[in-house]
Amino acid sequence: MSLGDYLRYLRAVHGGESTQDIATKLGLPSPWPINEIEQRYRDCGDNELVARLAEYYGVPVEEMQWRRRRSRKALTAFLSEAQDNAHTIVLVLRNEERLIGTVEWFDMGAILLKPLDDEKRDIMVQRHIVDDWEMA
Amino acid sequence: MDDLWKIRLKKQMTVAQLSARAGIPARLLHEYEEGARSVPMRNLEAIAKALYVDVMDIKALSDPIPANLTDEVRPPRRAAEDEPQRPAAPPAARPSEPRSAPPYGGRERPPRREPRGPSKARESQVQHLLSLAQLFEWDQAALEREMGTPLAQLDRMEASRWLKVLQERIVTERPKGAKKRRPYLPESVDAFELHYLQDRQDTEKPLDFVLFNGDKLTGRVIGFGPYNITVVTPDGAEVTLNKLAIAYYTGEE
Repeated sequence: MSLGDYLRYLRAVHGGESTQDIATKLGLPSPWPINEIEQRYRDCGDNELVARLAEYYGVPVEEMQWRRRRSRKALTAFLSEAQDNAHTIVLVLRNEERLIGTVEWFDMGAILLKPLDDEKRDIMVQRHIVDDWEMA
Repeated sequence: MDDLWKIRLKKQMTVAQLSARAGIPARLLHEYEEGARSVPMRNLEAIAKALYVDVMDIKALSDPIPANLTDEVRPPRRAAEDEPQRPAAPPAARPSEPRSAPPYGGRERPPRREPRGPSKARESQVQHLLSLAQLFEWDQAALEREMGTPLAQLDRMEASRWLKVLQERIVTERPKGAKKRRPYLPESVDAFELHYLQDRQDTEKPLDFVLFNGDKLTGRVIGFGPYNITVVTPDGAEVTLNKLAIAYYTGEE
């Protein structure tokens, strides 16, 4: 899960406050930098802001930084390479389940995985549940 | 393709109005309309936008306005009317020179510069045309045959038009060389999953859903959208699942 998706998730579980509310509480002149992190597919946001958001939500800043490196664009690049080279990949989900297979295709919302252990089945994984990824 | 002044008249617009809309000085527009110079692509785009026409509808180099139309097209006080008021010019730098001095210091008036023809196609346009030609497996000679003009004689407007033609043909004819490439960045589209769900709905094959909270559900797809999927469970219940609540779903081929 990218940092943007994670921030949206944290905002939802913290009562769904707006980015404007959070910006005001953090003393930011505008919610724009938070919106940018949440909405952009690429890695954005500066270290100071990420640290302040981590403090605000009470989560380790290391986790935030770790997620910054796992942007939606980074997942796309990974999937594209795996699909082009027919690599077997491991998707680690937020519920800690690990799915192993080859990428049939992917789009903005989901990934179609062909599992190694049952080639007659498809697994349609929603991108928002993918926490981490690696080549098998 | 028509002269700029003809299109402007058809649109019942004055030069001043076109100037304001296109953000191009009225004096320059007059020069374009009189064919004194050709319209560069950047200005052509602005003019086309202001006139609500396609770039290809306007001649880059207009034919001069016929004399009998001049008054209709261009009011006599055009310069004063079309151009914004400017402050009076500062006094002449050489006050000793009499005000009635002949123009050009008594010398013969320099000859008027010949109107420039359309500019030669840019190197980048030529390269782009050649790369598109490769998709049709044409060499340069074949491309020139197709266009009816040698590349060396192609002007920018023609090059632009041929680029458009070839790009449209690539879409419609799908030549062998043109691979259907997945848009890589930004992140593609969300059509693949929708096609998959459409197939599942058509074939009525059930799907097994695993939700974010660990719950499981099996059902046959009876409807879906970008944000949700509606299924009928084996006991006949109709359930709409928000995609955000779904971790993944599986189905048999």
